[in-house]
Amino acid sequence: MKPRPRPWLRSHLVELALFLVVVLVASAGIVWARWAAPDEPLERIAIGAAQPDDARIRAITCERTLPDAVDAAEEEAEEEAAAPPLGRVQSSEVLACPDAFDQVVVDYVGEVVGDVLRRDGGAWLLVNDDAYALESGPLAAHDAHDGANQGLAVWLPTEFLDLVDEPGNASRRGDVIEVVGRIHRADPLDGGGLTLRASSAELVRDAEPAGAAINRPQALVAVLMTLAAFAVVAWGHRNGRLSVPGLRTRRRLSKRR
Amino acid sequence: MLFRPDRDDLRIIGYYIGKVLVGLAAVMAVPLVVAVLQGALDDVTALVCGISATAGLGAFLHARLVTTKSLDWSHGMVIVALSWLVGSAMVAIPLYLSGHFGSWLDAWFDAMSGLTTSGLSLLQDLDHLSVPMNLLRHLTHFVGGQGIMLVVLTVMASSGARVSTLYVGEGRDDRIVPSIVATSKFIWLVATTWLVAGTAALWATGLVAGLSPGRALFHGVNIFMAAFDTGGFAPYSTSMAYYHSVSMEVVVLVLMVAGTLSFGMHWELWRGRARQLVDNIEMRSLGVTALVTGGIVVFGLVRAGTFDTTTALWRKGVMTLVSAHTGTGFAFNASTLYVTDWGLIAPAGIVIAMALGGMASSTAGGIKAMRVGTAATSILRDVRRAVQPDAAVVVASTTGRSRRVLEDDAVRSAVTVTVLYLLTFLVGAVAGVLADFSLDQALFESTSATANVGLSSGVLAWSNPVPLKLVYLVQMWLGRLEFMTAFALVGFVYAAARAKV
Repeated sequence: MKPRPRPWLRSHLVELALFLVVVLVASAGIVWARWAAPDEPLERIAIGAAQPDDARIRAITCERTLPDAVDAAEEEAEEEAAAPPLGRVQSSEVLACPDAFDQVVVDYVGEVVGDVLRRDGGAWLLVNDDAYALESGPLAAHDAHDGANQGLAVWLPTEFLDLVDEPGNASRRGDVIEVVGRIHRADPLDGGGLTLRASSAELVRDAEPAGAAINRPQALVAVLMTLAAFAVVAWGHRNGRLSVPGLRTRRRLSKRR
Repeated sequence: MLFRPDRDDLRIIGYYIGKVLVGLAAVMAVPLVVAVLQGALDDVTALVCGISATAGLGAFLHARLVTTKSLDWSHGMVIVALSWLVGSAMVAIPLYLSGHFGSWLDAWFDAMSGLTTSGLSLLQDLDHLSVPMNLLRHLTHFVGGQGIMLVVLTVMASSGARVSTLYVGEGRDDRIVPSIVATSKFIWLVATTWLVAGTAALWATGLVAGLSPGRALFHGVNIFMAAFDTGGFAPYSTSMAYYHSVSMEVVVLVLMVAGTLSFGMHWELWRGRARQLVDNIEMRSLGVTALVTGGIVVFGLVRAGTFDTTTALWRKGVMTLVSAHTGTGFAFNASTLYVTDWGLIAPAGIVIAMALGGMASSTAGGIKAMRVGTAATSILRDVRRAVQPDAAVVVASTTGRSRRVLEDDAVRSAVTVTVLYLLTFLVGAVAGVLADFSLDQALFESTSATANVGLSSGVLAWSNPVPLKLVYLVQMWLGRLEFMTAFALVGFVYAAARAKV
């Protein structure tokens, strides 16, 4: 003999089904709003052909210098400092082998994002060289997900600050600059931070707006969901089960509950 | 024996979850106002979707399941456990619609991370995230840090309801004043006072650091919420290293320490009882563990040759340690450097500090100083017993807000929760290793998630397998609720499922 559903459960099955349908429709609406969002990536920034010294960069090994080998490492760093610029590097390479790049003069290209933190003699910049910076632009404008940001802290002397007009934000890709400077694994002037102190800089591309198009499907879903929420509140208020500030509740809660 | 929950039980649970959701919808209205003022239409519609869904569901549950029946302990525990799951899922809606997440799961992960004040993030392209969405993320810290149940408790005047179970369910056991509602209001008073003072200090130091007045306010508010609530989100991907500012770091240091103090300690300090800073067992425990782990980190960094100046050791090493021990999770250098530049000993010290955590009934996570202090006192008592004559009666006591004799029950409870934390660290580490990460990195990340810290060694990424993301998500939830509340939910579901319909 089949177990019979409890009366209270049976009487509320329709209500439960209706509730689930509403939840599913709302979820589908949200997914659709995201799926139908405008996809307008910015133009990829061409930053020139591979540098002659690229092979030298790739040959860098990631061995950490222990204190016993500090003297040898210092000599090596001095030789490196006297050498010509290493060529173009990416922040990921520097962060993966900070010791290998310490005191090395490099060429670095990236988008200025956030704020220009002006101090005496220059400013601190966050310069990213990830895909959002050099390829597709701010993520809100397109659907090319490529992970987290990556960049370097760059100290830009005052004479080059005019190059940076508009750092990147949600609605624009910021100025893209190319700097030549020295990597400091533990910069004493920044309390031990990993920095790149620029000795020269030039503007590669001006800032450009991104994501101007409005996500209309999302606006439609927002309107429908707002109406649905108001309908629920009105229903609750009408039944005297929900008090709304500024409105009198029509029927009080029954004692039975 | 577990009693099968009946209709009234479900009604009570749904009714209170409805209240929580309405409260969360109100919180989401704050960034909506900012979005409207900025004219950011996509952010407006994303936030309206989130608010409508949350408020609509909350109002429906509230109205449909309205009840005047009182809560009991099991209801409270289940409500708290479910509220954190459902609430974070709803907060994930506007985050998902921002377009900065690869999937809704990633957005849920961030919402859970925000509410549990963890600070781990799967958000992509943070450096181009809009101001309203950034504010929403940091607001989740502020609300979750105090406890989302406090949103309900503060506005509920129903003195007859046994709302204290909700308070305890969120991992708090320190009732500051006799009335639980008054305690909740005091917690909000403390948080708001610090909000004003901390934001003002960060705004001023932000100006000195080179920010414009408007931007300094934006950074100040967000960094305050992440620091005081020991959260760890930051407006930019380089976290605190973005600012290159000693003065901001000093303010953040004070806020992180303030956040890791229990609200009971704030109450004592509020009343001018500074002596508690020395006498309190948790303060002593924190002091000792901070010194020991600090010593490990500094030794490790010197040994590895990472830093050779006192300034660098302080601004990178010690600040990271404080960030870890308080459960904040601010990074003071790029996360990959823990692996590529810090050697092995210093990160090990950071892992230990993360695991130990801050004070009980604070916004911090981790095992908590109270449990560490209780366990240490118990060990000392046993040693004294061993060396005393058999007839000697050895009694140990601990000084919290008042002096108490150390009971075996308190020791058992402290050790039980500690073991649960250690097991959870281990499970998360195994999950990380199974996903092909090295054991040290996996343990670092697992500890960070469970202790609600948010420091990352580079393991966590949007490309992680879904099971690993789920493991970390559950770890954050378990760590914030300190296990028992989550176990109560499991027991409730089991009881509901096992009986015949």
